[in-house]
Amino acid sequence: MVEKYWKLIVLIVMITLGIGTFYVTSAKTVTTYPEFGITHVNGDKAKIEEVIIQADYFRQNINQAALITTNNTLYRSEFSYVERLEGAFREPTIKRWEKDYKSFMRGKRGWLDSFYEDENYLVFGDIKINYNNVDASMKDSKLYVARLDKKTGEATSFEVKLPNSGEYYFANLQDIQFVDGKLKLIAMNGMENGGTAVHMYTLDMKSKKLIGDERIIGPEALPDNQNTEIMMLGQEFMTHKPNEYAVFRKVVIDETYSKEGDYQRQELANELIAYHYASGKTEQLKLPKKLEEQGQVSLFDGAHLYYTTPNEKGIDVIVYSITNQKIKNNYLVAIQVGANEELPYMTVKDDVLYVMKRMVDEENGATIQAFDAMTGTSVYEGKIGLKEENKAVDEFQLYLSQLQFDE
Amino acid sequence: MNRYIKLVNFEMNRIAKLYVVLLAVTFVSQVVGVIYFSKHFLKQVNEAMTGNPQNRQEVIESMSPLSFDQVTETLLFVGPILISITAVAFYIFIIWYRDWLGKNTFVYRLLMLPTARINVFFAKLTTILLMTFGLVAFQLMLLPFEMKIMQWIVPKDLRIDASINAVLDRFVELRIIFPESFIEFILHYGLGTIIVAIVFTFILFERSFRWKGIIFGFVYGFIAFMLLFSPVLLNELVLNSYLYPSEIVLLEVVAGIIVMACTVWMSHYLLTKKIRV
Repeated sequence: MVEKYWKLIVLIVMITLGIGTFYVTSAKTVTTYPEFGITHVNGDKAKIEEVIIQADYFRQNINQAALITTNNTLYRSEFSYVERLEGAFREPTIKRWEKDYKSFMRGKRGWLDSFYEDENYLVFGDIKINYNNVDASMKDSKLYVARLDKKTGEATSFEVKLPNSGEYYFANLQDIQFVDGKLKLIAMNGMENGGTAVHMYTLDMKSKKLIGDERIIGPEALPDNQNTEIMMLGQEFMTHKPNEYAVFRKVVIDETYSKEGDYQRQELANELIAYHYASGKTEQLKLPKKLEEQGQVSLFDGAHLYYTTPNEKGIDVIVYSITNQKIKNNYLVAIQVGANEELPYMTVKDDVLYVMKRMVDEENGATIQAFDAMTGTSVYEGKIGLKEENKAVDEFQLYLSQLQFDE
Repeated sequence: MNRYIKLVNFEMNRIAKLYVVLLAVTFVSQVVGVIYFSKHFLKQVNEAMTGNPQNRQEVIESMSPLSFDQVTETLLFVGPILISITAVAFYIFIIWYRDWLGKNTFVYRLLMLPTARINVFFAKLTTILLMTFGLVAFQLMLLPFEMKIMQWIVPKDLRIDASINAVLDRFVELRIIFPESFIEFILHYGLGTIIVAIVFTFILFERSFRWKGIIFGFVYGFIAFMLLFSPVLLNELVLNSYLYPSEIVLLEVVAGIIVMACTVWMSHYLLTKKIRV
């Protein structure tokens, strides 16, 4: 019997051993990545509880993305197949919605820009781009909105024609807000005959109709060598929250080629335009001279602009209130930034300014600090580094790229 | 069952010699590749050090150390894998046609065996799978050995020792053959098995109706593939991504089982009622 089948038996044994060993050992190697943690130095620990640090771990030729929280480190390969499939690194807020409102979230994959959430409602908006079969224009495109009443679980949705859509060659949804029973969708539209326009679409939830199409920033007639770049300020994790203002940076750029063929790029104008959601008023911000000279605004929290400049003592922060059109405060965040060191990651959320150094290696940890965004008072300080039991790991680098918030 | 095992054994024996050659080619080509590449690397290091042997430290710092993933990108390493894939792909057809085209139409005896004819189908399918898994397992066992060889040749300060998974992560195409987790392994090779079964049915259509059979075969194949990928297609084209990715995987598994059952049933029908010798 065995004699007759020996080849088959050898093959089957080889298969079981080869493939079996590989998957058993690879399940074990996962645990060889070191654990990082945030150790408390001083301040209020609650400020850091929601924080998830997105990081990349490098050692020799290994490169693994990881998420670090106060309790643990999760490497990409530690996520299950299904988690990786769903997107292990997507925004924690979207993960939470998909868990809590599974049915409403169906077919609504995307970025936080497309959502709005307050205590009562979860709202989703989308510009459905449809290209016309005959002339390939966008004229059949639609605005789609859906709203979930979180208490009753009742969902309503409708779509309307995107007005004048034949004039655009692209339309990107920038943000959606819910003000006084009306949905406000901000879109950036590329005009077929040149330029970019920012539109505010207002939709009434009761009548399920489009009740307003307002052009906040219009396309400008510019010479051939000039063009405008418009950007909406804000951070990914705050666009779904109720915000007071939407702020745009508009830059007019002059591009020329000299006779020698050298490319020259010059900023002719650089202005900030604010839209107030509640009143529907648009205005160009008249910044004080001090800020004009500062150059680009660093952060925006929905109502304030933050200008940050590193100097030898730390990072100088100027807080500008859009409502009062005045500088509200100017303070120094005492954090040492070396001459060759990359600037720390900074972000503002719920009136807290987070400052995080970006590099961790076998010798140095990084710091994460939180300050009262209005006054600059330190509210938390922590150290990011290897956990005690992993201190033996040789040469590595951990690059901290940004923060997520798991609310 | 007994008949089926006998048939598998018979099919395996028929290809055994060629199969061993395939394994041997893989072994020789890859091992030679590792040795050649490692020596070549050392030669480069030595050339950089010529004249001032004190400079070893500087040379090491200026050159990036050798890691095994560089070896996997060479032709001597990838070549045998590509040859193996091609060989198995061809054998999916040859495993059937050799019975017809060989001397004294061997298929006549095969179909006359006192057993359900579908066992012939299963035995051939099993053979293709065993060949594939054998090659995969052989490569997985060979990898640590090849890494050891590199470590014997290249001194520690000139190389990076990585795990197999780290090497595979840097060569994304190899991840199709050696998936990251066992679930993915089952999904990848499950899909592969279904595709092989559909191709088998296509061959049986052709063997049953000859020229007309090719058309039937294509029609059948098209329907089978549409059915197989219907969850993904429906979700993208009709349902606007209504389903979550994990639900699609689940439905794909169900669709796979249905398509596999239909394919086996169709093959059974063709083998018992329509096949021409």
